[in-house]
Order: sequence, then structure tokens, then C-alpha cells
Amino acid sequence: MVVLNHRHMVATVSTGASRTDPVPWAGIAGWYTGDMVPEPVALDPDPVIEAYKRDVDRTLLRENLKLSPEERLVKLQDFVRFAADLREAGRRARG
Amino acid sequence: MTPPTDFATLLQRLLSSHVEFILIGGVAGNVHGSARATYDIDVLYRRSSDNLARLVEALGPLEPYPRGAPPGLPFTFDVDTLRRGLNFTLTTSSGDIDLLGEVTGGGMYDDLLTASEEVPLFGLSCRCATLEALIRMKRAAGRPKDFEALAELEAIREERRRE
Repeated sequence: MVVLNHRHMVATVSTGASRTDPVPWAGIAGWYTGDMVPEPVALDPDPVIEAYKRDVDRTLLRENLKLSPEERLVKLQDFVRFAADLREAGRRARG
Repeated sequence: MTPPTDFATLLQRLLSSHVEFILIGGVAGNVHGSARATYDIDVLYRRSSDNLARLVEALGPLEPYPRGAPPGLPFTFDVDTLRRGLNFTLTTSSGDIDLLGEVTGGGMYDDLLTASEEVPLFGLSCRCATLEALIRMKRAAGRPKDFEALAELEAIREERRRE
């Protein structure tokens, strides 16, 4: 039974292995390294990020892309100052 | 209370003192078109002795202090302090700045140099991480809080390609 399983595994995975691979399962799309630790798999596109992308306001991005880099930073600066003013007003209102 | 970060003042001071740095993080994202608010500046600085001295010259007058730390710590913003540390999250009289010697997905200054570009800002030329590099760093960080930012940066890339 053990021998049968072993042969079955080799037959199944050897299609992706080259003749120079040191072990018969080395060709499984790089899943296993020599110490049998799975390598991280990079998903491109990443389905999680794609899901987040649906909520991105692209009209806002298109408006920003019409500006120069400096104009974009000035816009950010205006917002940061405005947020600070709001915080200060809230602090005063609370006494 | 910490004053709102004055991006122009901080960048102008760094650039005028010829500090070798690369703008990264949220402000760099805004330079590329991001609409996300950010309240501090992140810079990846070169760790050479000369550059540490230039950093001290540029930011020293703004009295940098570890952000969130209780007052009264024996903190001196000088070359020795910078040499003993690597990444510093600081607050200054012109707002908050993170000085990073190394960043996940970007490495050190010299590693990221080829993935940066000169951008004209406030009459000076500022080295800024490319959009691709920012995406790579966000991906490498892999923090859930960065997912929205990463999605937006990738959307900017798509919009640029569409232009």
C-alpha cells in the first residue's frame, strides 16, 4: 500500500518536473522548497485589493491627476489645516 | 497640542540643507494623486555621516522630539542619536515627521534610489518614490489598514494608463 501511494504521487507530480530536479516532486510549480516550507504565493491581481478598489472614488482621483504635484500638496495642506481648526473648535466647545 | 504639519516648511528645510532623502508614504501618495488625508511626512533618509549632520542642521531648529513620548526625556536630536537609531517618529514645531532608515518593501535609501523620481515642489526638486515603489511598499507591509490605500494607488495607476 505504501509503495502504491508513493508511485502514484510520483506519477501525478512528475509532469512538471525536469530531469535535473533532485526530487520527483520538485516540479510542483515551486510549491515546495528543499526544506518543504511552502513559498508565499503572490496573487496578481489580489482579489482583496480588487474588492477595495470598487469603493475608490475615481472622479476624485481624476480631478487630482489634473493638478501638478505641488498643487496636490497644497490641497492636502489646506485639508490638514482645516482638520486642525475643526479639532480646536471641538476642543473649545467641550470647554 | 501638536500643530498641523506644515509640509512645505519641512520639505523646504530638508531640501535647502541638501539632505539626501526620498519622500515616501502618504504625502508621496498625494504627490502622485492620492486623495487620502495624511498628517505627517515620511522620509527615507541616507545613513551616511554627512547626511545625518545635514538632517540635524535642517530639523534641529524645529526641536524634534519623539512623538507620543512623555515630556522631559533626555532626548537630543544630534548625529549620535541618529546613528544609534534607525527609524524615528518625531514631532516638531512644524508638525510630525517620520525619519526612516529602512522601510519594508523598499529597503534603505540606496536601494530605493532607482525607484524614485525628482518632483518639482515649492520651487525645489524633491526626490519622491515612484508610484510603483509605493505600491510595492504597501503590498510588502501587508497591513489590513493599508488595503484601502493600496487599492487607491492601484486605481491611480489604472487611471494614468487610461490617459
